Amino acid sequence: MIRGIAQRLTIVLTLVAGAGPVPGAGAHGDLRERIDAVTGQILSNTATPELWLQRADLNRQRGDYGAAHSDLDHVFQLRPDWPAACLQRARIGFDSGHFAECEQAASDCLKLDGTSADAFVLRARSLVHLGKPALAVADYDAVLNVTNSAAPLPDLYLERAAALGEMARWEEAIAGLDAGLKRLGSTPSLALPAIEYERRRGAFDSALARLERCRGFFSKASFDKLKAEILLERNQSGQASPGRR
Amino acid sequence: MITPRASRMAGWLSLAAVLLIRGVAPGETVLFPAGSIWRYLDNGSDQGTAWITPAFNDSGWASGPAPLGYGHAPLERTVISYGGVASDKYITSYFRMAFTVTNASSYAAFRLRLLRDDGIVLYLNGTEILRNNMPGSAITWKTLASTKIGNPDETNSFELFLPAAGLAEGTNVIAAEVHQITNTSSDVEFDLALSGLPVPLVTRGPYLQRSSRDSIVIRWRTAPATDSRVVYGTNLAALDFTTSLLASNSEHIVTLTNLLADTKYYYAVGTTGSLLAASDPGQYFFTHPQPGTPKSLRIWVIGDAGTADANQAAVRDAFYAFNGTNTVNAWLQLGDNAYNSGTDAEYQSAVFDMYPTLLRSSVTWATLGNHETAQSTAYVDTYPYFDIFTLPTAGEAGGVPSGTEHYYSFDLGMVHFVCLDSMTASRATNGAMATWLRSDLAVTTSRWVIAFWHHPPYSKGSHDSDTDTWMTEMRENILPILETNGVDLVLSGHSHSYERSMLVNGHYGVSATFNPVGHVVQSGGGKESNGVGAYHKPDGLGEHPVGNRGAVYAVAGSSGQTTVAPLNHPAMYYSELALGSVVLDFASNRLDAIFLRDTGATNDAFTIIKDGTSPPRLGNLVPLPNGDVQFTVLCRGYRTNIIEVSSNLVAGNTWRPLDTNTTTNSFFVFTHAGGLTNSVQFYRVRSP
Repeated sequence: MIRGIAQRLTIVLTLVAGAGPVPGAGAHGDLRERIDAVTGQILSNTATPELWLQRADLNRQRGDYGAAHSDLDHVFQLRPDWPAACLQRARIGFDSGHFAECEQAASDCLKLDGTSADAFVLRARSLVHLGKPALAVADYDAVLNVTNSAAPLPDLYLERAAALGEMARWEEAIAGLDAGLKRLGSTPSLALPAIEYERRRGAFDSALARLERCRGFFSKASFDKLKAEILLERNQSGQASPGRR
Repeated sequence: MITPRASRMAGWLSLAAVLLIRGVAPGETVLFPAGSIWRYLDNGSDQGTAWITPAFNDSGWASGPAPLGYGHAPLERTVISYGGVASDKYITSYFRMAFTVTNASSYAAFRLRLLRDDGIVLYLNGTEILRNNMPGSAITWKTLASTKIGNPDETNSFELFLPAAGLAEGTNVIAAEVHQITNTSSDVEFDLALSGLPVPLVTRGPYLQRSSRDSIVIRWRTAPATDSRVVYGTNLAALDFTTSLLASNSEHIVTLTNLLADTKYYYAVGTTGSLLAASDPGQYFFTHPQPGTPKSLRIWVIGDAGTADANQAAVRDAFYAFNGTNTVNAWLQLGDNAYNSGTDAEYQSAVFDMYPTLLRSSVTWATLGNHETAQSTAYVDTYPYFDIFTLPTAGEAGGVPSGTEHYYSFDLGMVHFVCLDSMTASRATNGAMATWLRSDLAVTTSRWVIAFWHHPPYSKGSHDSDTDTWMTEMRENILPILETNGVDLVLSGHSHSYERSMLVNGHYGVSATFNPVGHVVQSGGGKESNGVGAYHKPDGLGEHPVGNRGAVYAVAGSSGQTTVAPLNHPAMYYSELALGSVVLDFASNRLDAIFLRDTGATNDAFTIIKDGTSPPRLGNLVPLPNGDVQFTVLCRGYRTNIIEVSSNLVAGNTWRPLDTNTTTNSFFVFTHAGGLTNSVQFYRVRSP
C-alpha cells in the first residue's frame, strides 16, 4: 500500500500498555560491528551530532544504556535543542525502565516538535507505567490525530482502550475501539476487546450484539461458549443492562 | 470490457518490456550528452525571465564544457565565477544550450542525468519542466535552494524521467538556473544529459501481489509517471479484458477482480495508449483454487536472501533448474529480503533485478525482517517494504482481517498461510497480533496450516533463541496459539543457516528444557525412505485442524549467505551451514519439503502425511451375560472420541459421558460396565 504523506512515526517500542519494557537483548548480532563502524566515523568527525546520535541508538538497541547516555551527552553539547536527541533519550528511558525519565524527555521533544508521534507514544506508554492513565489517554488521542498514515496500527487503539479501562471509562474505551474499527476495518484485534469492555461495564446485550457481528472470528464451539457466558452474566446480574438504556 | 487485441500492438511495444533503467534503452535517442558545451552567465545579475525563452540572445554569454561550477576541482571542466567575495557569493548562475531534434513527436519520455549543487530550475523552450531542491514559490535571482547538497550528491549525477512535452521539431533551447543554498556556500556544480524515449520505461516489474481465488494485484513502476492499464485473458492470443486507472502514477497498482478460480490468465501492462510490458508466454498468473480444494501446490521459500550477490543468484538458479517449467504457486520471503536497510534501491537490486522472471508469474508473500526496518523496532507502516508490497489487511485473500499489513493470512487451496511480524508488532499474548491470530486460526478449516515470520523460535544459528528477546517472545507467546490450532510447519529466517526440527509440540522454554520425551511427537527425520518414516498427523477433514499434534520448525535463512554458528538446537533433526532454499510440495494429504542447496543437491527432506480421519462410528453392539454392553468404536486417524449414553432421544435429552478416548488410527472395543438395563439405551460417539 502506498502512503504518500505518511507521518514519520518511529515508535520504538513493541509492547502493549501494561507490559514491561524490552530487555536489553540486541535485535541483531552485528550490532557490535555497526557500533565499531560508527565509532570509526566519529573519530574523524567528532563534531557531527548525527554520528553520536546514531551510536547512542545502537548502544540502546544493544542494551548498553550507560554508553547510550554518554553518546547523548555529546549530542546535546553539539546540538542542544534537537528533538531527535530528546526522543532518543526518551527511548533509552523507556527501554531501561526509567519511565519518569522517558516522560520528561518525550515532553522535551514535544516542546521542540509538537507533532512528533514518536514522542507522544513514548510518553503515553511511560505514563501508563507511571500510573497516570488519564494523561496517557490524552497522548494516545494526540498520536492518533497526528498520524496521517492511511492505516494506523491496531495496537495504538488497543493501548488507549486499556488506559481508559484502567479508569473504568468503559464507554470511552469502547468508542475508541469503534473508531479504530471504522478506520482499519473489522478486525478481531479491536472487535473482541470491545466485547470484553461491554461485559465489564455490564452492557451484556451490547456485548451479545457485538458477539453476533463477530461470529466469523470464532469457531462455533468458542462462539457458543462465550455467548453462554455472557448470557449467564446477564441473567446473574439481575439488572437492566446499560446497553439497553 | 472488450479491448483491441493486445497482440496487435505487441510487435514494437514488447521491446520495452525488457528495458532496464541502467544503460541505453532500445529506441532511446541521445538529444545531448553529459559534458556538452553550454552558454553561461556568472555575473550575479538579475536576468528576470526573458533569458529562458528560445529567442533570447545569449551571444554575449561565455561558453564552456560541462561540468560547470567551482569548488570541486578537478571535476569542473569550466570554472565559473562566484564574484570574488567569499562571504557574498552569487546566488544564481545561468546556463543555456540549443540542440536539434528530428521526429520530436516520436518521444514519449525524457531521461535526464543531472548534476546540480544546490538547487535548479530547468526550462525547455521557455516552459519550466523541472524544479529540484528549490521552493515552490516564485523564483527570483536571490531565491536560495531548499537544502544543502553535500557529499556525494554534490558531485554525482542522478537520473530522472519526465514526460516528453514541449519538444519542437528542429532547434530547441534548454535553460537552467542553479541556485546556492547560501551566499557563502563553497561550491556550485552543473551538468545535464538529455535523451528521448519512444515509450515510458518499465523500471520495475511487472510483479504479482495479493492473489486470491477471484482477484489479483498487478504492480509495476514506470519512468516517468503514466496512467495504468492491464489487459488480460485466458488466451494468450486474445487478452479480452481490460482494467485501467486514469490517474498518472509511476507506481502502478492495479487490482483485477471477478476472476475465475483456479484459472491461468495471461496479461500485459502499460498505459491507456500503449502496452509497455506486452504479453508473452512467461507473463501469467494462476488464481487460487477454491479454499479447501486438494490441488497440488508448489511453494518456494527463501530467507535472508537479499545480498544481491552471487550467493543469492546461485540459490535462485538452483531452484530454477530444479523447478523447470513447473508452476510456482507462491513464494515466501522470510525477511531480510534486501540488505542492508530494506531501502527501495536495495529491493531493486536484491529482489526485482534478481527474480524478474518469477515475479511476473508467481505471487510473492513477504514478511518483515530486521533489515527491512534498518534494525528499527518501531511499529510503523512507513518502511519502504510497505510501499513495495501490497498485502492483505481485510481478508482479501482469505483468512480473518488483520487491519494491518504487518501480519496477515491467506488461503491457497488446501493451505492456510499465516504471516506474522516478529520484528515490530507486539508479541505479547494480549497484543493485537496475538488476538487476531487466535481468531484467524480458530475459523480456518484448511487441511494445512503454515506459518512464517522472521525470528525463529528455535535456533542455534547466528542468532540464539535462548537469548534473543524477539525469538524468545515468539516462542513463548505465539507458538502456543499456533500449536493449539494445529500448525503444521513454521518457517523463519534470521539465522543464516538451515535448521529443521523433528515433529515437536509444546516446547516453549530455552533449549536446555527441551525434553524429547515430552516435546517430540514423532522422532526421526520424517523421511519415508529410511528411519521411522514420514511424520504423521491427523487430518481435520474439512473441520478445524487438530491441535497439538506436532509441527516442524525450519530455519531457512541461508538463501543469501551463511554465518558460522554452533547449530544443533536439541529440537532440530538436521542443521547445516549451507546456502539454499526450501521447496514445499503439497499433494492432497502430504507435504514434501526439501532443502535445496545452491549446488542443486538436496541435503534434507521430510514428509508430513495427514492421515485421513472420518467421523467415528459404533458397531458390533453386544450385550454381555454379566450385564455389560460391549461395542466397537471405528475410527480413522488420531482424534479424541467422546462416548456418551442417553436413555432417550427426545429433544433436550441429556447425554452422559462414559469415556473420552484418544484413538489410534484403527478401532477399539469399549465396554460399558453395567450398561444392560431394562430400558432402552442409546449410545453415541462424537468428537469435541
